[in-house]
Formats: sequence, structure tokens, C-alpha cells
Amino acid sequence: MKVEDFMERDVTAVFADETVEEFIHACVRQFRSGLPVVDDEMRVLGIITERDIIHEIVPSYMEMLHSTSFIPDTNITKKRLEEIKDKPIAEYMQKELDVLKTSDTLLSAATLVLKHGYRFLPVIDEEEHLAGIVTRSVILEALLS
Amino acid sequence: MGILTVTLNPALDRLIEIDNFKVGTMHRIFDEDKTKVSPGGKGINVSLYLEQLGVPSTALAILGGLTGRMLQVRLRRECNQTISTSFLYVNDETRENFTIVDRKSNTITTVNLPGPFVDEKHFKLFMKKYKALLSNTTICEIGGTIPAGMPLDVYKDMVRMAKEAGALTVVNAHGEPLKYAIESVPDIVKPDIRGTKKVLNRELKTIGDYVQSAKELLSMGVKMVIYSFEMKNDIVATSDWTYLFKMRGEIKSVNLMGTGDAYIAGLIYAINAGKDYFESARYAMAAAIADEMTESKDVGGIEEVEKMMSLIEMERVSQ
Repeated sequence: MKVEDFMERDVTAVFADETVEEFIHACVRQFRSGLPVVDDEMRVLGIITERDIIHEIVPSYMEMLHSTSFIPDTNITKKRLEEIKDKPIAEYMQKELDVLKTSDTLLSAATLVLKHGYRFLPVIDEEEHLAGIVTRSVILEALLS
Repeated sequence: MGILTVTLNPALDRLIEIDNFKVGTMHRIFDEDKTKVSPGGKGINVSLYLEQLGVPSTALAILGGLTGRMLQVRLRRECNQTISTSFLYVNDETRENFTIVDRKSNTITTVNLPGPFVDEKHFKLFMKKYKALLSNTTICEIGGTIPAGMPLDVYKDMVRMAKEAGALTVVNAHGEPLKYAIESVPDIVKPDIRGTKKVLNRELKTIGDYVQSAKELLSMGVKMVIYSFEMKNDIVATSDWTYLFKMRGEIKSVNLMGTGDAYIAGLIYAINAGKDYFESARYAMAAAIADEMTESKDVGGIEEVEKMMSLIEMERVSQ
């Protein structure tokens, strides 16, 4: 089975000059954890995920703490988000990432997603335009069939 | 390179069958088969019909709220073979269109809800998405109503942009949006004259009025004009000819909803396959007839459409 046989044929994407705030709203409205980032001709530039934003706004020392219960409020995180919300997502997106082709196999897609822990990956056609996306659940569903 | 359909104001279509429907009374539906929910709006319908004809397309639409989410899921789950989707999400709810069919009394009652408000920020973002998708488009279909907040002349810009991108433009709209679309001279125009039979201030009553109106549009540079005439016939005109496409005999008509969109899909199918405008108009009418004979939005595939072509006869209209 090829990627084009089971991918989600959704080319909904964001542009690199859209703001972090717009990206967050887009994710909430679409029930998505991330979106492909495209140029003016629908060529994939990368992806941006909630995780990229959270990583940017949560202080790095938090990751080393076993508990954050003693931290009185979320002011630091909120302030940081306030600082970056109007910045373009180009500053926070993942540019170096694997991209699937419509002609790739289900096995190669599953391997790639499992190996790197991607929640989704963009799929490109022969002309390198965004053709759809593959999520973990789409791969699992394809494996079921 | 492919086909792009644009739906600014899509809808979730709910069809409910109620025998002896009466205003002011309560009707309970016990049979699930008596209700149907389907994604709708002109462009989305055209994409759905194109899928039945085996032609891939990309459907660009503005969605909002839970209704928009439901429309999206329905479209992706049920029709994910050849339709690609690109959505812009706004805050307000996507509209719902309710159709109550009463087969006993032979009536159809429709209630169409308003669509979402699209603010300037989302409008600009939509146009940017549209432009990006045009870079990979050969045929662009634009049609339907325009949601509140968007400028009424948006079709003028959209037709211009599609032409600049080298795409063939097909417009299926009515009233002011149609008037503005014509200003940018689309390649093919099918005015939607349901409700008001008036195009560019010309009243359409006799066949002569339709022909004159078509000639007016052709003189502006439009390549093909299509008018639905007396429900079941079409007047089709190019700079070389004008024909009345008529149905030979009678068919068992069970559905007239969406047939206009099936027509556009049949037309795009044929043009995409390299047929000339005359042959394409035959395919278009055949698709509309095929759709009319089924209860749901279904033309039954290209073989079924081609079978219907034998039911059409063409009569040259003197210019």
C-alpha cells in the first residue's frame, strides 16, 4: 500500500509569516496538534506543532523538576507567550524534518513515524506540492485494513 | 496540476423525508433512512460529483464551529478517494440547510441558515490560500453565495487571479456576485437565475431574451454561456453557435436539488478530458439528468452519464 492510498487528503496549512497566535487559534479550531507550513506555491517548508510553542514558552528548568506544584502561578509562561504571540511562526517551526512522498510505502511511513516519534508528517507530490498528511492514527488504521 | 473548487459559504445539508408534512405540528422521525446529512455548497457539491466521475479535485472552503467540523469529517470520511481539502476556519458556525421532502403531498420545504461572519483578517488569509492553490490549478470553479463580512466584489478578484495563474475559470453564481465576476470576464458563465430571472439588468422571459443576454456576455469576452431554460432545457452559446439542449421524452425525476452542480461537474469532466465546448455541454446536461434520477447527490459514474447522452437533442437557435 502506498502513502497516497491512505493519507488524509487535506492540504490545510499555514504560511510562515502567520503569527504564533493565529497558529494556536488554527489548531484549536481544527482539533489539530500541528500543521504543515507552506510557501506561496504550496511547497512544504516545514511543520509547526503545539510542542514547538510550548517548548518555547515553558522555562527549560521546568523540565528538570519532578514537581511544579510549588510554583505559584503560570505568569512566566503567560508572559513569554505574550512576547512571542505576534511573531511569525517561521521562527519556531521545524525546518529540518522528514517528508513523505505519495509514492512511499505504508511500511516506510510507519517506520519513519515510529522512529522519530512524529505525530504527523506532510506528504508531497511529484512536483513537491503539499498533497496531504499522514498521522499516527491514519497509519494504524491503514495497518488494520 | 488540477481542478480547484471554491466554496465561500458551504453548508451541511440535512434532508428529512416527512409524509404529510404540516406547518405548526410535531413530526417524529423513527426511520433513520428518512434523514440524510451531507456536505454541501456549490463548490463542494461539484467536487463530490467530480469524484463520482473519477476526477480528482481540491475543495477550498471556509468552515466554522461544530457544524464546520462535522462537514469536514463527513467530507473526509466519506469522500477521501479523490477530493483534497483545504479549509480556512473562522469563529462562527458553518450554516445548515434543511430540506423537508413530502412525497405524499409532493412538496419541498427548505430552510437555509445564515453562514459565518468572515472578518477582514480571515478574508485576507483566505485569498492568500486561494492564490497559493492557484499555482497548481488548471480549472477553477467559483460559485455560490458570499458570507457576511466578505466584499461582494470578491469574485471579480478571484476570477482575475485565476486567469492570471493560467486557469480556465467557470463561474456559477447569481445577482451582485455574478455581476462582479463578469467584470473580470470568466471563461465560462452559468448564471444562477433561480429566484430572479435577471442578468446584468436584463429581464429574461422569452428565449430571445436569453439569447440576447448570452450574446451580451460573449461580446465581453466570455467564451461559453449556459442558461437553464424552462427547468429542463439549457441554452448554451459560444461565439460560433447557440443551441437549445433539450431532453428527449420524459424521465422519472426524483430530485432536482444539486442538479446544477452536477451539470458543472459534467462540464468540467468533459473539458478536462479534452472535449470541445459543444460535447462538454452534452456531458454536462447528461450529468444533470443522471443526478435528477437519483434521490441523493449521485450521478452514478461516467458510464451512467454517458448513457444519458442519448436522451439529449440539440436544436440550433437562430442568432
